Amino acid sequence: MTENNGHTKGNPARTSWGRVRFGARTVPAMVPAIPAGGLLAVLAAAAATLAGFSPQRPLLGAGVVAALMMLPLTALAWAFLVDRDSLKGAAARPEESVESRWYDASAAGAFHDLLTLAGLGTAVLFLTPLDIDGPVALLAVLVAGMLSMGVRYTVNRRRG
Amino acid sequence: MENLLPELRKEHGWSQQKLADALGVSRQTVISIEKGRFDPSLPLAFRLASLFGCTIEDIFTPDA
Repeated sequence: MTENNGHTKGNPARTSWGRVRFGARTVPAMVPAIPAGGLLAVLAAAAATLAGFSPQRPLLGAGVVAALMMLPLTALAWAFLVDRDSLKGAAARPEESVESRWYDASAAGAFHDLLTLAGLGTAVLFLTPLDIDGPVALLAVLVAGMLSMGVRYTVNRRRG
Repeated sequence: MENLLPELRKEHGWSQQKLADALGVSRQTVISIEKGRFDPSLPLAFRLASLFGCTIEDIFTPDA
C-alpha cells in the first residue's frame, strides 16, 4: 500500500485510502475522516431527536440514527478531505477519461428519465384520487434517479 | 474512429497502463480508444500524437 506509482520527489506515497494534507505534512485520510464522520453522525442524531424522532425513547432513537449515519457520513468526510493525488490508481486528468464520458451520459439519461417519471407521476396524481405524501414522493424521485443513474452507468461501462 | 494506437503502443513497447499513466487517464480509457469505442478529446489526441512523435492524423482515421 506504499507504492509510489511514479510520484515526484516530495509527494506522499499513494495508498488505497489516500492521505490528507495539513500544510507540509500528510496523514492517512481515515485518521481525520473517522472522527469527522462520528461528529457529523452525533449532530445528525441530535437533529433527529430535536425534530421529534422516537419521542418515547429519544436516547435509543438517537443511537440508531447515529449508528446508521456513521458509515455514510464518514465516507462523505473522507471524500471531502482526501487529496486525490495521493490515491493509488487515480488518473491525473479524470475529466478526459472514458469514465467521465460514461458519467455524463448516465447523468443526462437519468435526468430525462426523471423528467418523464415526474411528468407521468404528476398526471397520475392529478387524474386519480391517489394521495401521496410529499416526502414519500420526493423519496421515490430520489430512488428512481439513483437507480436510473446506476443502471445507465453500468450499461455504459459494459459497452466500454 | 479507427486508430493505429495498439500498433504504435506495441512498437514503443508500452503497456496500456504505462500509456495511460503518461497521458494522465485511466487504463480503461486507453482500452476504449484502442477498440474505437471512445473518441478522445482534442487535447488528449494532441498529447497522444506528441507522445508518439507524429500527427493526430497519423493515429486516427475518420470512419468511412
